Amino acid sequence: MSEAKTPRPTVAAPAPASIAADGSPAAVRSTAFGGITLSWDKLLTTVPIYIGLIVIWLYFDSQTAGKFIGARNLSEMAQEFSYEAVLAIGVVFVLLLGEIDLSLGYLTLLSVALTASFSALSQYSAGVSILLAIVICTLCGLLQGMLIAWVRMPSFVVTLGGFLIFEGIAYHILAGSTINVFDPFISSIGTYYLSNTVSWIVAVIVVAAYVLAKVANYRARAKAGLPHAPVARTVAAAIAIGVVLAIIVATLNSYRGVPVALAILAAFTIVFWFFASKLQIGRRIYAVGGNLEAARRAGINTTAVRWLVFGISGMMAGVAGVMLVGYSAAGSTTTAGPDLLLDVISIAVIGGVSLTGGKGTVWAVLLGGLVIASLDSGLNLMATDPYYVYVIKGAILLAAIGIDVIGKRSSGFSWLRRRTARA
Amino acid sequence: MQSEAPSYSRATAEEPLLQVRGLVKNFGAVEALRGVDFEASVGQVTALLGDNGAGKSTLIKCIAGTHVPDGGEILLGGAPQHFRTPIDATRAGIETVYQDLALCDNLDVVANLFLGREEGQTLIPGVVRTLDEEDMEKRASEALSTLRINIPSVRNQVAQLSGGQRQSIAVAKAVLWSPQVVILDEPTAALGVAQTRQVLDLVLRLRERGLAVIVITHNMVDVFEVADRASVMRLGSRVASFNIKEVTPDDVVAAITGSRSFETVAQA
Amino acid sequence: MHLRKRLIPVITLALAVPTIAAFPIASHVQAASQQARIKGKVAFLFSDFTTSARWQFDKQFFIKDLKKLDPGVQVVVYDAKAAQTNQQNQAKSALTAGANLIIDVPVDSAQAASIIRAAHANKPRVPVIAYDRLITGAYEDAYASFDGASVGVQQGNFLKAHVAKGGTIVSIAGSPTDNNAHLFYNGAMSVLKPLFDSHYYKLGYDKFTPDWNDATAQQEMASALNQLNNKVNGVLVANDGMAGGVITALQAQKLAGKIPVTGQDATAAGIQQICLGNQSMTIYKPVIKLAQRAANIADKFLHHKVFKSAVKTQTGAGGTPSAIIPVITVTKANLAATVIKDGYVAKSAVPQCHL
Repeated sequence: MSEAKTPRPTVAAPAPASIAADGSPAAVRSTAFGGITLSWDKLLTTVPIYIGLIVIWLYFDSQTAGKFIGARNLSEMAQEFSYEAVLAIGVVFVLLLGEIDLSLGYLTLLSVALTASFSALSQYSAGVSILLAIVICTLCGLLQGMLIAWVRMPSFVVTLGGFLIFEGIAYHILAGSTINVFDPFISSIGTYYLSNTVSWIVAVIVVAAYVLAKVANYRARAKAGLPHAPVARTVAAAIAIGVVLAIIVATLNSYRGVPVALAILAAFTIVFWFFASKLQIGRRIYAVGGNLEAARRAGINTTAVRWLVFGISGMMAGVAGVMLVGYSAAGSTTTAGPDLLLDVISIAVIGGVSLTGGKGTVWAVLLGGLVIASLDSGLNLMATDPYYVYVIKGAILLAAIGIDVIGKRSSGFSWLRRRTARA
Repeated sequence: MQSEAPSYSRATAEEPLLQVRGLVKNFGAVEALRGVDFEASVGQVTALLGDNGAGKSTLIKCIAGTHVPDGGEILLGGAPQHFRTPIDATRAGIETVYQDLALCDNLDVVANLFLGREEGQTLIPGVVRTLDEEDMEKRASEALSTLRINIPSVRNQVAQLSGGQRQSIAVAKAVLWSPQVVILDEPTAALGVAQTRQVLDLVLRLRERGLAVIVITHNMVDVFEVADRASVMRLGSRVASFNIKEVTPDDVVAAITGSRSFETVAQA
Repeated sequence: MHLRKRLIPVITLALAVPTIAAFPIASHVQAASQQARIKGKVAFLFSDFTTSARWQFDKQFFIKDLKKLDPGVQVVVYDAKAAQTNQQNQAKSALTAGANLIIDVPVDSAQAASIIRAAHANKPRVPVIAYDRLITGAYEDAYASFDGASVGVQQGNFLKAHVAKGGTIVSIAGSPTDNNAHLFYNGAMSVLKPLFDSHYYKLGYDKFTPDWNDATAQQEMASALNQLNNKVNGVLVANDGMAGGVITALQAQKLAGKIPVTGQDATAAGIQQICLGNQSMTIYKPVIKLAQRAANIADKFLHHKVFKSAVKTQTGAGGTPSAIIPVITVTKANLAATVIKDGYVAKSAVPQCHL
């Protein structure tokens, strides 16, 4: 497209006044912070969560004589709640579209039922059982997606139907009983640990990959004649990632190592972050969630995008169900259910994913998952009356949604912005 | 860029690039267009005027491929066109900027400019193609500077931009793909004085670049500021076509309201 | 224990479920045999077939036993799908269809009183037997159930017999919203609490588990082991499902099979764990005996006789004559003679037992 690339103004027009100088307050919303540009909204929506997390940790630690921030509890936390965060990855994509998937709790239960019955009753090999369960759940998700994307039924209604249907099928398969799963490979998913050496190697690979990707990025930007971020900042980020990973690996290794379940969560998070932010299809998911009409006019096949997202959601339910069977070495009607749905939506929202679509990243599941896992684990460790668990979780969900809604309103945090602008 | 706009033999000054002849469009019993003629020429700004319900939007939507006309023909560079979808019109080189702008607020300027036409680069041959952010960013910056659109950063989210900036981005998005015809639907309707000025300057730059620009507007000041020609519609027909230099705002208003009839459409 | 799902926090569901489920799903209509001395229709209203496998046994055994006594009687089975309003509608339909007797497993003990009132107001008056769960607030004609209060007592006694002095005990109780969970817990504590008070044992961890969720029970057990530095000498677990989770948590600390773990329901999964040595006991409720007693009582009512019993249960509206079936502690030693012999768990379902 030579025309677009090469400027060729034919008439020397008088230099126009900069549009940015039009005095619109909306244009000045970000603040330079040590060379890092942070938007106020982002700052104001994530900082309370981090503060909350620190408060939660310190409180539980003080109440459990230092057991809470111990290697053993943190390791168990990772093992117990990774499946929820994996399930939340699917939720992130559904929420990015501004849709909802109510069926996830029972679709996960269906995966539990399928995995357990294929492995323990049909005596299929672990690989076949796992694959079948995930494929069937993906198809269930695609089926719902078809009704939503092509037939244009509201996702709320379709997944409410799915909610009942998957519940019915799962209950039928399990027939009210518990199925013990003795397959060592499936159990290994939920109960094994990476060896110390492997964990360190993986950590080094992750940091190296980050550095290499940044180097490639610098080169590409230099080649395109674009300015790049200060090198010092990138070095600092690489060091920060390295230190955080080292702390995590060292801590977990001091107990039994990095749980396989956590490694699975990390792998899925990285893969889906790449999918969402580096690929064309990911960009289009954000576009459809941001402005469906604009995406449609831009020639994006919005129907296919919406369909695909519900397929992802179903697939992650399949994976979460397999992980859950691995964790409990059994499947029963009480292994998963509608409470799980509320947990995973909380995870996504706490992690900064907006319920109205288009806003948030896959990384949300790590932050949100950590908050939810900390709550459950801490309250378990304290043997707190479960009534409080409901109340606390509900309150946290409302707080996270409140922050999102207020932040979205244009006048949201304007009083604070104005105050800091004056200072 | 993969989708090169088809090149037509550039129409001469005598023959307009875009010609609409006897266009008819009915919605049930309602005749929205009753055999409308319309034309737009290269390097000219053509204003499309008329009261609400005169048929301006229907005409534009037929040209943009959103509506399929029931009769008449649309010629581009002399060749008849049969648009079934907006994509067809875009491929033929007609871009439309609607009033609601069709921007994704949650994406940055670069992503919006390349929406639906993202550039990729091969990461793993035959398996994974990633977005080529550097090239898109470079070309976005170039396009904006060509049109002299100033924004703090092309990596700003569109939600953070002002109304005038958003309108400018929407226009830049349309011309990035080197169309021959650009249709702007009420580009200054929601803007203040300073921002209106920016957008009108931008319209003039589009003309300088040799595009056929069509502007739908209600604002007579805008018309006399930027337009070369004006077509006036009333009740689904074109009632007048002016060379702006030869008429006064009163003449135009009279045509719009129907207080004076123009039996012979004034041709320049 | 028949776990009842907590109601789902989706309002629409409240609208959706009745429309789907309220239509009487008269699933098992038994053809009346012609040579019968008496005819009649019995409506058996179940609470929820989906969440517990045992109701299928209740249904089969009851129909078989009643047919032996009264071959001409027809039994119509309903499933309320865990919603009391469904059951109320089903009861009305049964009365309209001319049922002579209602046997009810209530979803909600208090709300089910309206079923009794409707049956008694019917012309002719239709007697109601409360099955497995008591109906409170109205006077049912008979109550047939297991000795639920002794479930917890037997679990507590088992631990008392198998945990040495000075031992630490962990309690993983059932759903805090389920009255049965409190009943079982209190039964166990009636044995164990004096021992805790006298410092004979220590109660190291004590928690109720929402929804009887086995994965949550596993998390709780992991927390308990962490909190107590693995110094645990016995685990009071309310049912087999949660015991499975507790065992997985114990396995992670290489403690499975080394300390007593209780259970309840005599499920196939629980029996498997018992045979593997991971679970120590389960409570078996001989459904076969309960169904038999209920069939006998039903036979009395169908012949227009009155059921009398010295055992009375307070319903809140007076003492109801009751048939209370004792529950049985099942261990590796007696499982062949009880659960397997009764056909409650098939031999083929528990290959680990090498029977």
